[in-house]
Amino acid sequence: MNATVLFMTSNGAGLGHLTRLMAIARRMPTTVSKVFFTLSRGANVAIEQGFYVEYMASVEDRTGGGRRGRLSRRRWNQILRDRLIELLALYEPNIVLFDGTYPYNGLLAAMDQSPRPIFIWCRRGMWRRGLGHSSAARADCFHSVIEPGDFAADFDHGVTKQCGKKVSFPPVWYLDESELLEREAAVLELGLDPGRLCAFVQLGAGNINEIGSLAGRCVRELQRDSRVQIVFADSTISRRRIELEDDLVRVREYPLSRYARAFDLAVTAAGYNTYHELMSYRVPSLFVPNTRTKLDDQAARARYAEAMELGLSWQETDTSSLESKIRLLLDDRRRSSIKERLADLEQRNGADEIARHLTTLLDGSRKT
Amino acid sequence: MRSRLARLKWQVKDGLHHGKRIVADVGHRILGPWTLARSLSLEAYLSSWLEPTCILVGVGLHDEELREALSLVEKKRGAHERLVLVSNALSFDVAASAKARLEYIPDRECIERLDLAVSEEDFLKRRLSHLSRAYGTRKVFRALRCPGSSELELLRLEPELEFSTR
Repeated sequence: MNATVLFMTSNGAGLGHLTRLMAIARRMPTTVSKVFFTLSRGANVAIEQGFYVEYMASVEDRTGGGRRGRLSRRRWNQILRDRLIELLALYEPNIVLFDGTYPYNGLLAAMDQSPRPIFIWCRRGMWRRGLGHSSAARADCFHSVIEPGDFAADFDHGVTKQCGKKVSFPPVWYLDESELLEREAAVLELGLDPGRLCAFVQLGAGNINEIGSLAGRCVRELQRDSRVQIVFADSTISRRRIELEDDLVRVREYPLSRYARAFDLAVTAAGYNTYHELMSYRVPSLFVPNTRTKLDDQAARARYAEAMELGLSWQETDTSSLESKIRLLLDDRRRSSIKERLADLEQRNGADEIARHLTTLLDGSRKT
Repeated sequence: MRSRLARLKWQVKDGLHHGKRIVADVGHRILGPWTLARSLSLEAYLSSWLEPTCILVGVGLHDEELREALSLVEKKRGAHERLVLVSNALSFDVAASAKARLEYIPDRECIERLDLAVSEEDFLKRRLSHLSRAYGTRKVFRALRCPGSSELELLRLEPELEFSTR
């Protein structure tokens, strides 16, 4: 029987957890069976990427709308525990890799009753200062913790920074640079004018924060420059469509990083994936952090980019305006300087190394 | 009734925690004796009283058919019952419009690709048994399109459950 890895993700504000685990899974040997169990509405994305997927609605998901459909947190955890026990019995995984910031009670209860698999927590850093202590303490329940790195790690003041029990890896992103479309092909596929600047705008899913007015401001300012054409990304897990001007290209697909070579600049949120993808593909970006996330310190990530001249950052509390920051990004010399700095970043994709680490563990677990 | 059940649930859990074997009388249904190993089923059983649930299986149906099936099951479920829609499509909007909780199940193609030693029908049976236990319900309907007919039909299923009354 094939060795099996069960990749489990929480939901999160975007597709971060799912993308990290897919990045790792697709780099593991084809002889290893991969099963995804996700609480994310992005489950469709994993199915479209060819993965075998199990889905369960998260505790925050109000799909079962109304009082009648909603589950209490406690009841949801019981159902999660039962589902996990069922999945562990059915798929008999050698390893369970959980990516999320909070190991649920239901997960821990299932782990308690399932001695066979190796349980590993894939936990990125950059937690907001002073938050998440009780969650981080749950690391002891796992056999090990692996930490995908962060370019902005020097600005990490979260609780996980000092956690000793972890194996650290370089940052993880989904597509290697060799998998990106050439610029001409990307421009053609997006229906863009090859002679104009292309600005990519991606402000997150907008499920936990209001991004409509922000998106409108970005688009209006960018459109004031006649050289610019805009590609606006609608998140695949967004629950409502943002009303915007017609004169832009709207895309809603995964992974959008395929088109990265078409982008001359970007205005984006500072979530883990977009941040690392754009930086590793050397796209000069203005990072507008989503400050409504529970734990992810997007603001620190954005500040780091600006402090190291690897990008620009803007948030509501800044004295400068969003529009002035966009105008800075439209300056050719500024973008060239950012590109040069980005070229100096180390370009090792941690997904390769984590995949190798898991494969070694699998070999070991099958011998014992 | 509700507070009595809640109190009983607490007592049962407390007893289980201390490794006792328990015989409980819930609304004239005798449960037990229960051991710690069976506590999962017991919790589900008690929850079935506190949070009654009706499961609709819409496997193999597309969104329009799911909508039709959901309207059919409305007549079969009680006013206070939670509705769970089991589907191999991630039809979030359809489920939300019926205020149903969506439970996704991989389709045959996926199951075959993973090379599981289980048929699609057995997989479905096993999953329904799990869902019935997890939600603590025996009220399970399957929506099927009968051959030669343009209408959907609801069949009542009897999933095998670990908990039983005696």
